[in-house]
Amino acid sequence: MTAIEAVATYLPELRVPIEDLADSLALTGVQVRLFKRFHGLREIPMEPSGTLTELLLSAAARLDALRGREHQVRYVLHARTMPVVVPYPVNPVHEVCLALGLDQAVAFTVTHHACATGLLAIDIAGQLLAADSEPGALALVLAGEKAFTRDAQLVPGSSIFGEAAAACLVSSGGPRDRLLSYASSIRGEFDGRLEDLPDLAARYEQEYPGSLADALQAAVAQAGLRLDEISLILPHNVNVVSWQRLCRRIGFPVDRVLLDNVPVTGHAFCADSFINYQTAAERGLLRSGDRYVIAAAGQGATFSAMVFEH
Amino acid sequence: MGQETVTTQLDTELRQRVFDSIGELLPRVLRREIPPVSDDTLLMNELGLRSATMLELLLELEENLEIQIDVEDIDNGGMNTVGNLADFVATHSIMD
Repeated sequence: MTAIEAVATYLPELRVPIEDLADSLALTGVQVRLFKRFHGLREIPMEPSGTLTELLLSAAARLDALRGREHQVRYVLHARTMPVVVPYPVNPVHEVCLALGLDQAVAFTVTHHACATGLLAIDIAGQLLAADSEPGALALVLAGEKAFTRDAQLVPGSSIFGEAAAACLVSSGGPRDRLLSYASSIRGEFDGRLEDLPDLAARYEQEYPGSLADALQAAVAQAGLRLDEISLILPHNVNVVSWQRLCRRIGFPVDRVLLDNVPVTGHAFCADSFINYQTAAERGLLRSGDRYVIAAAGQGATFSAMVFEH
Repeated sequence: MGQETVTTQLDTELRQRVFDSIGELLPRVLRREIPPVSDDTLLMNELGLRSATMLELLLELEENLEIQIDVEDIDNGGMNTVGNLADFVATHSIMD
C-alpha cells in the first residue's frame, strides 16, 4: 500500500505583500481588498533570483530521510501545475536528479491535472513502486513552481500563486501515512483560458464546489469511511472563501480544514498539500490512526482527493 | 470605528439605501452600463455577476454606505436576485 515516508518543504524568506503585486498583476484596489478580506491572502513567497531547479533542490535538501538512501530512489516525479515552464532543452527534473545523486532514477514530470497534479504524482509513484521488484524501492515526488508570468501568478478573482517547494518520499509500504483511497474526476469541458471566456468561467464557478465535494466524498466512501471520521482536510491553498463554502455544502467543520497557510504561502501550485501536511505534523494535529484527506482542484478541470491514515 | 449597531432585523431605510447603492455600483463592478434593476433582477443569470464580482460589489457597498457586512454566512446560492442581496446586506451589517 502506498505510503508517505517523509515530507520536507521550502518557503523562500522573501514575502511580498499582495498590495505590492497590484501593478504587475493589474489589480485594482478593490480586487486587492477582495483577496485580503474574503480570500484570506496576505503575502506571497517569492525568490526572484532563483531558478526552478534551485527551488526544488532547496526542498529536497531538507528531506533528511533521503540521506543515505539515494540508491533506493527508483523514480523522481515533478508534479506540475503548468505544462511548460522552461525552454528546451533545460530540464529541471534531470538537474535535480544529478545534484542529488539520483541519476539512476527514472525521472519525469507529471502534469495536466493542474493544481491537483500532486495527488496524481503520489498515485503514480505508488503504482510504479508496487510493480517494482527492487526491495526497498522509493519514489521522490517534487512540487513547486516559479510564478514567472502574470498567468502563472494570478487566477483572476480566485488566487495568487506563490513560489515554494516540497519534496515527498513515497514507498510502497510503511506504517506512517498510508494511502487508503484516491478519487479523481477530470472535467475536460472546463478547459480554456477562463479570463477570456466568461461563459465557461461562469459554468466552472457554478460546478466547482459540487465537483470538489463529490471527489472528496468519493474518496472518503472508497476508503470505507464517513465524513465525520475524517479528522482533518489538507486543502489546496487557493483561497479561504471557497473552502468555507465547500464545508457548508458538505457539513464539515471549517476549523478542521487547515487554512492557516493561505495568508503566508498563497497558492503554492502543487506544493500546497505537502506544505499543509508538514504544518499539521509539526503542530501535532495528526495522531496515530487519524484519517485525513488531501484535496485539490485544478483548472482545466480536475477534482481530486486522497484519504490517508496517519 | 464609532458606535456599532448590529442589524438583526430588516431595517427598511437601510434596505432602501442598499438597494439604491446596488443599482449605482453594479455598472462599476460589471464594467459596463446596465438597465435599471428591480428586486427581481437576477444577479448571475441576468447580469452576469460572478463570485468575484459579487464580493467586489459587497466591498463597494461597505465603502459607499459606511457599513461592515458580516460575511460569515455569505453564500452566493442564497443571493440570486438584487432583492435577496439587499435583504442579506440589510440584515448582516454593522454600522461604522
